[in-house]
Amino acid sequence: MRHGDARALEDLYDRYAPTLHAVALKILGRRDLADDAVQQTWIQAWRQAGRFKDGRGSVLGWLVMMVRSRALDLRRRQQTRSRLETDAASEPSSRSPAGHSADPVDAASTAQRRAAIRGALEALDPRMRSVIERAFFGGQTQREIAATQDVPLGTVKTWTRRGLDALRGLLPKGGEA
Amino acid sequence: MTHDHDTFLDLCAGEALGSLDAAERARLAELVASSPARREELAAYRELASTLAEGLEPSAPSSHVKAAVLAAIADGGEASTPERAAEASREPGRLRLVRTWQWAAAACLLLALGLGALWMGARSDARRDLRDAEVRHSQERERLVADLETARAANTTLRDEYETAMQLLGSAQARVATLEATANGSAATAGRIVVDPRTGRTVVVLPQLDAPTDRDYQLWSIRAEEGQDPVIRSLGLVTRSATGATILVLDTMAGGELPQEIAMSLERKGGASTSSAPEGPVVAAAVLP
Repeated sequence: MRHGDARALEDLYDRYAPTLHAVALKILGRRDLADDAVQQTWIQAWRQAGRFKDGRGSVLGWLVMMVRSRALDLRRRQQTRSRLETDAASEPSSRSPAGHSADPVDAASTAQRRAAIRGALEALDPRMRSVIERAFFGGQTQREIAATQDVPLGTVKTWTRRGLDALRGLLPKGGEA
Repeated sequence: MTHDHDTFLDLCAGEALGSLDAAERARLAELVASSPARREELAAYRELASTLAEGLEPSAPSSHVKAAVLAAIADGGEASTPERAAEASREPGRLRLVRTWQWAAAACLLLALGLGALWMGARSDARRDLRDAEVRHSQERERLVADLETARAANTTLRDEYETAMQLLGSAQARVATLEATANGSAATAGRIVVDPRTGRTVVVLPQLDAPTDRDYQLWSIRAEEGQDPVIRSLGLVTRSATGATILVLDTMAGGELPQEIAMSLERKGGASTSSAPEGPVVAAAVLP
């Protein structure tokens, strides 16, 4: 994709679009808006592919951060708009990735990794998990979390780092889950 | 681990989750600018945060999204390739400078327009938020005032009942009768009655009564003149007072006459269909002295 190969983008799309859409859906709660966020993300990724640097993280990590950012932007715009007009009917339900022609072995491996990540999240201290999810999916700053949870900012910072460190320890090494 | 490094790692974790404020982000940028090792630590946290996405149930985008993406990139959504980046960096200095100024001017204009729009939007939002808050505040105040009035009324009723009961119990003329359970009743339906013969004010105390949820107890005043049919009159349903106890203050005088007896029956929910005779079994009765 860094060399302008549209087929490479298509391959990456088939592989990662369901994960990116899940992130957008989690943040936005509406399929139509999640679709918009995913579409914007892939176009942005195509335009900025030259900036991606090997060794600074995975392609998926890069794309996830991008879609999260797009989704939070869309949500902020949507919240502003919804003050002025009645919100359209929402469709919060998730849809299985139909048409995603994943290799069965690949799919099984992905499902196993997903289960491992969920298990690790479940094993976290609920306060740390809450802070992580509020920040990552809720788009709240640490100050906002401290205010809404009525805890000192320093505590939120500690829970954030300890939560991520604990998550690192709970996840299988080398992404072999 | 030094305090500084500890702080740095806190910043990395916050940045990875996108939860730092502008000042913290600037501080972090400063810290990683000169240290490849720190950049790696930050990258590791970012990578860790991105695994949160992999824990979600995958969700397929609508089928038109892929087509729209492919159409957009075919229609001029040029990828920024390393080759193009290198080409850009080889542009003659003057041309690059002109382009830089053009971009800077355009950016300034856009920034000014954006800030203006944001300022206007923020003012409008703030006014709307203020109006909404005022409406909510007003509604909440009205609700609280209504609740307070209800509580005051209940309190007044309770105080009146209490004072009446105390006056009656302390009256030298008060007469006491026992409300005895009948064959249809039980110890729970027994109680005590205190009546002031001058006013007809009567206190009925039923210390153990526990009404079933689908039935109601009802009190009756009975007066019989010789040679005539007894006159029966409903004194109303037995309800718990605000204190939860079953202590009733009733006005039993009718036509200047006190009842000779008071009875209690177990009726369907809401009481007997007529106020002149019980329909359910009589569970307790008292003969007034």
